[in-house]
Amino acid sequence: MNWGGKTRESVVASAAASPRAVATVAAPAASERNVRQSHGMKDFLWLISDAQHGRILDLGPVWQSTVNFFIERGFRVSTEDVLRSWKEFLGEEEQRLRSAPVGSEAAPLSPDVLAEKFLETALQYSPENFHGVLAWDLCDYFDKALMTRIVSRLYDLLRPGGAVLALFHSRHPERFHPYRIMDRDSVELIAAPPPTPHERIFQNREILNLFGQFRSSKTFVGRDQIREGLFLK
Amino acid sequence: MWRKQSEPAASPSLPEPVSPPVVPPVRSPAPERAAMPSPPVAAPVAGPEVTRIAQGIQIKGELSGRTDLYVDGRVEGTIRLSQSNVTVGPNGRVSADVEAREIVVRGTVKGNLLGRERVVLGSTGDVHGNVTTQRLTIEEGARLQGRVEMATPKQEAAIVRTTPLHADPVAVQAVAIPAKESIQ
Repeated sequence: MNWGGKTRESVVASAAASPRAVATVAAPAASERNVRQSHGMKDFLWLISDAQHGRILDLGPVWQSTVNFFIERGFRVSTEDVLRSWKEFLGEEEQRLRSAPVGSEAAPLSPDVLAEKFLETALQYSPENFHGVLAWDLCDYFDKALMTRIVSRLYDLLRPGGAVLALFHSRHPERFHPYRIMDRDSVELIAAPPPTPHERIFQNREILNLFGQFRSSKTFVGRDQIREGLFLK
Repeated sequence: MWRKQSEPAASPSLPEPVSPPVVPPVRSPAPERAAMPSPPVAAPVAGPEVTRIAQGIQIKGELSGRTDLYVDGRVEGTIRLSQSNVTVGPNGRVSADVEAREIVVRGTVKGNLLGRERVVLGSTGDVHGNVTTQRLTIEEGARLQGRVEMATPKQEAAIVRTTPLHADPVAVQAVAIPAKESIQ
């Protein structure tokens, strides 16, 4: 693996096989916060640390702590809650079909067409604009047609050497959790109603195929059955 | 913490204030303060006058001036109140670039926000555009689709000089729509 010329042993090594690759779930804090230790986040930050005035794209909801975290480190942050936008897009499509006159040619669009149509307005940024993308666990929630297109779009949006951090559940999660960064190696899981149903459980091979365009990848497996994937362009 | 509006600095470059003809200024404390959910976030300090664009009112054009502005109706065009505060209420729908001293968004804004001192995205706020400010407060539940840039006062001044929000201001047009019509 070549992590952008970086030579830290922990990155070059096969993380999945090493003890340090195990992401652990922190004991609950004094409060009821659900905080998760994230080795993937730690390495993600390390990979993008060389960027001067780096740009980060956060695909989850906007959080004060996440924005502050990157702003304080000199990054520029863009946020786009893609999952919420997707849900709204599907709602609008459904409304379009309902309101179509009887006998009209309005018909449900195929998943491929829906995905193409959605991406005409979503994730509209200049190519190679970002040094890092936080995709969180969104891949689990998109259908296959959209997911493959989004990953391809993310590849285009990343600068060479840029990284994507993505999470994958190993079992269907009981709840939907947006994530926000607490510090450089921990994220907080915020319980929230799922915008869309959890679609799938990825196998390792599927993950690698999904991010096949990327130069290299690295995964961490946590005790909470969440896999963290780092994908380097 | 931030300047009161009691002594508004003269701004020779700004055009005369535009008061929407259908909505006279009212003297009142900032109404959004009471409705603000926890965690407590400082609302912009209201000046002595607040111009309210109530729900059911639609304005197209450029809004500029020196009084604070509360938008609970619909605005399309440009809002440029460099020395004042702008609040977009929960029912407010703004399709405009907004430049103000402090901006609070609890409704929907499609446009870029330039808050000279502070921008607050309330829990019901929905912004599609870039945010440039010195201080940014984001309440849980807020939505932002765009870029965040924290600007120092010097940088912020440069942004204001180099990026006119609206090159060709259009005439203000106030359109009253039925009050019972819900703006969603």
